[in-house]
Amino acid sequence: MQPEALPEVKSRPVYQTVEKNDRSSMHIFVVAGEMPQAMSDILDSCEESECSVISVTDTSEAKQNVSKLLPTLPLSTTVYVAGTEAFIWYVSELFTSAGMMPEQVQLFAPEEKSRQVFCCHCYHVTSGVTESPAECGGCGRVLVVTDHFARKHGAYFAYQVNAEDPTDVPAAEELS
Amino acid sequence: MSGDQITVVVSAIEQVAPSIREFTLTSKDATLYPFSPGSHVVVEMQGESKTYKNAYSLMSDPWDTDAYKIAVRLQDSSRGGSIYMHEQVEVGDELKITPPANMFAPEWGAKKHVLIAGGVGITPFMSYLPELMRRDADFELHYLYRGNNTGAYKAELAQELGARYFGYDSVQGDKCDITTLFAERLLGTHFYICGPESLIEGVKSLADECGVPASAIHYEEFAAPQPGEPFEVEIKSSGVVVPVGAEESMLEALEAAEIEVPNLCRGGVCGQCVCQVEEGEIEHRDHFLSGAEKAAGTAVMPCVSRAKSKRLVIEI
Repeated sequence: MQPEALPEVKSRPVYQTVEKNDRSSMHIFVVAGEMPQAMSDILDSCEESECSVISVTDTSEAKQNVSKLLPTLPLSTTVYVAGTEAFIWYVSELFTSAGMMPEQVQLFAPEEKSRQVFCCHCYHVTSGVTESPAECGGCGRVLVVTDHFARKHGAYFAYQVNAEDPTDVPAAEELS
Repeated sequence: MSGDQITVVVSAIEQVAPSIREFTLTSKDATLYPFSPGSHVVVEMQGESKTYKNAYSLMSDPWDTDAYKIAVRLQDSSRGGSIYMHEQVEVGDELKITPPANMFAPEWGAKKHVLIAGGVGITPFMSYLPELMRRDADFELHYLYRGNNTGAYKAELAQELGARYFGYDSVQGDKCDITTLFAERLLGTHFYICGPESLIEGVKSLADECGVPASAIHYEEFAAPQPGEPFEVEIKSSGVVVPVGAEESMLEALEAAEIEVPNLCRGGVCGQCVCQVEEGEIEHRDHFLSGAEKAAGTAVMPCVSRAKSKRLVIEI
């Protein structure tokens, strides 16, 4: 059995070109890994007094640094985030849960195609998934990875592909 | 009419300012519904030649189910509704109102609420205040008015709110510098505006210049339907043609012809009465449809919008 072709899904993020918001009085740059050229161009155009760079290796480090910054941020702040898809949505959630409006958070399109995948059976989130079906890191079920994306979790919804016949494991296809 | 109407009795009328009357409405048969801050009701008035239906914000405590209060300003260019409320309605009269509906609720996730009221635009905030205080929310009220003429509640608000109250009387030359309201605000601050369109547009454009995110700005303006050229509206499925007079709205004309259109705010805000347009050119006057939707010309809000062409063919 082959998984059916998945239709266009509204929840799948569409990343726009990131542009500097010149009306903001504060610009925050959060990046995991190497800073993309487009981000450093925006950073270069900012005065030192009106910007702050948070360069980290993972989400927990990002959380620590962002939390320190949050209480002082003015209403007219814009945040620019680059990293993996899971990372940028995690950081986005850090800011929006502190009262920032979605239009104040600008996300750079992730360069990697790998996805975080949420298993609807055991609720485990598996990172670095590039193919569907994929094995769940929590319960071991073979999961169809859908395009349904949860911004809160930064993960794609997935369900067992071979629930009726565990021996039926369809050929994996690369995720786009 | 969406929802079942409630019959209320006018139990008190107070002239709170030269052009503003406050009405206390008590229920005739059952207790009234509690409501959420910012709610409004549509009051139905049987005029001599037509039925008026105007939306008014509830200004009583949302928890008070014994009585609702509304304030009505006599509009300079009243089409009859506010004149009727000012000249015809007396204590003891019965009125029909819709259950409360809300298009202007507080953003409860906000860390700080900044309320900006222009004149009789204070009314929805009168229902905000008791709830903001019960929740111990961080807020401030900026009240812009014209002397005693529109500053109906300035004294009691100043006393009740203390340092959280900021009054600006244009007669005294007190101008509110809106830009300062945006200065040094922290993340999580939300702004609410109720008043004339000029105030709303002014605050919105200054907010944009100051880098305040658009979705932190909330406003409510019931656009009373303005008169225009007469035209005809045709219902495509039935072929019925209804003439719309210069002084009535398309929605009123349809209702007078006993064609039901679901509706709620009757002021171009809520989007309930939206109709598909098959033919004809629209004069959009609502705040609901997006710029792109207006340009597409395939949907119209009959409560306030009209036709530029002689005939509009719609589907309900």
